[in-house]
Amino acid sequence: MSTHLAEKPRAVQGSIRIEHVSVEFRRDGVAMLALKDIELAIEPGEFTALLGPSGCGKSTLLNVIGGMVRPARGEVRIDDTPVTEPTARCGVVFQQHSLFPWMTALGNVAFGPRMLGHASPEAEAREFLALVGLEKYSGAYPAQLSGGMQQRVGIARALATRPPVLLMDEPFGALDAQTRSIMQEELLKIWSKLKTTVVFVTHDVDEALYLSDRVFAMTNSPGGIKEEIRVDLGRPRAPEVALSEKYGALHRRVHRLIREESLKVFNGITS
Amino acid sequence: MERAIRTNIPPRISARSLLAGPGWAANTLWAAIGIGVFVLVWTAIALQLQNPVLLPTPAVVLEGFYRLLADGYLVNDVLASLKRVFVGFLMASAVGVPLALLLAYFVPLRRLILPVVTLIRPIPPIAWIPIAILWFGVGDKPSFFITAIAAFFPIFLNSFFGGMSVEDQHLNAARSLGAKKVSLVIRIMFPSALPMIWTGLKIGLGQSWMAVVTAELIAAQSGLGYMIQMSRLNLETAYVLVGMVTIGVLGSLMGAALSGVERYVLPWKSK
Repeated sequence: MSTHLAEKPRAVQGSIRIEHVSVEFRRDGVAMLALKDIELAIEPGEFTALLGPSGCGKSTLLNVIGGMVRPARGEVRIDDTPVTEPTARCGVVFQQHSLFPWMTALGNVAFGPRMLGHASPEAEAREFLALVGLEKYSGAYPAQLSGGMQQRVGIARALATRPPVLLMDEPFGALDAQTRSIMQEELLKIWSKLKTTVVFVTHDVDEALYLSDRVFAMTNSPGGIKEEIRVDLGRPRAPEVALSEKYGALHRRVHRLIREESLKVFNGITS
Repeated sequence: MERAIRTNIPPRISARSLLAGPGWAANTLWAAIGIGVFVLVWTAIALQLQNPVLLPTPAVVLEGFYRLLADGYLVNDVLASLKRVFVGFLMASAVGVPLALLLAYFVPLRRLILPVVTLIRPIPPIAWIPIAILWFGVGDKPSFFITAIAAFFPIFLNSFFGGMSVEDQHLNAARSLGAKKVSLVIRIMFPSALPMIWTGLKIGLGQSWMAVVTAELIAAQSGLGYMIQMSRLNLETAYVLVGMVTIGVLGSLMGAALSGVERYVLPWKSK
């Protein structure tokens, strides 16, 4: 049954190198610098978070890694191959409404394996649906599923191509707090089985700390990396890790960093 | 206790409560009343006029209907018209839908072809009839051409806007799952556009049906349009009205049939 999942974790793959990446957007004909000269190295199998207030360009950086946004300068390399367009090397989980509404849950998850010409896309899709605990909902259309279930299907779909890199753009942002915390636990379980490199975008300090090995706190306008925080809380992690003293100290530190950036924007807008 | 009391009350089904209800039965009843009133008014006016050449009564028209049905003339004319509608409609769909999706996806193609479409679109199907006769003579062929022209623009335009409304997120998700250009058009853009394509097909079929009658008035020697024209020349107004009523009824039935299969075409849109 679990032939596809039982393949040896490929932690040797999935290194990300972000080199001097700058991104410009045009607004009313004027070029605005969204990301300025970002330099980042993420190792295979690492779980990292891009953390920052909204508008800091963290999603933009994720989109550059995924090949959905072209940088004005610099480049991103995954396993030493430059990223020029979205490919199956990067699975992407979006915030919401990214499932294909005309396909069933099974059809959505089988889409990737089918595109890659695998022999039995549906059998693979069933395994990945089981991985996220939704094997019973294979015939349901996205509109018939709850928000949490839709995101689980989204995760299964992104993982079904076995990408070395998994990009997650505030995937739990639209869920209620209880569902979100359960989803975080489930995500860690899945990650510990597959050992994919994960880049996780969030503005939630707790979410970033609970999930990640390293957190990159970002600066605002232009977006950049303000500070890198190593989260040495050990694995596997239970949600109770948030009660530890070490976690408290990390949280205070990261929270202060993010708050500084938020205040900059807040004051910039009001003054 | 309360239950027992309630079941003792005999159910009251009044015409009023039936009409207030939702659903199929009530709608049918409303429709029957509306049509009944229309027929009564028609009868009253016809009796008042006392001129069967200007306006025969519905009863006389019904009698004419049976006579034409018994002769087999009506069936032949209906089949001739239906054939022209379906051939033209299928040609319009076969060209309109793929062309619209290609234009929605490939920008240079769109910029090249859309202006031509915009220029041709305001020309009504009836204005094409003279040139259709020059090109194709009289008979089925000019009618195919006219019904195709009439169906093409609603089908093309709806499909085009359906294709344009494809969500970037779906395209990006598909790319990150390994989909290439052809798959993006066929597997993402086409189903995204399908609800609007379907609307276009419904409108196109209606337009095509209207156009076939116009075409047959001038460019054919069979069909409902031809029959109306001939009956007018013979001052057989009852037959003119038989033709008109048949056109109305068949057109409505075709629309209803398309609405009836909608949930099989767009299964994710139904509950």
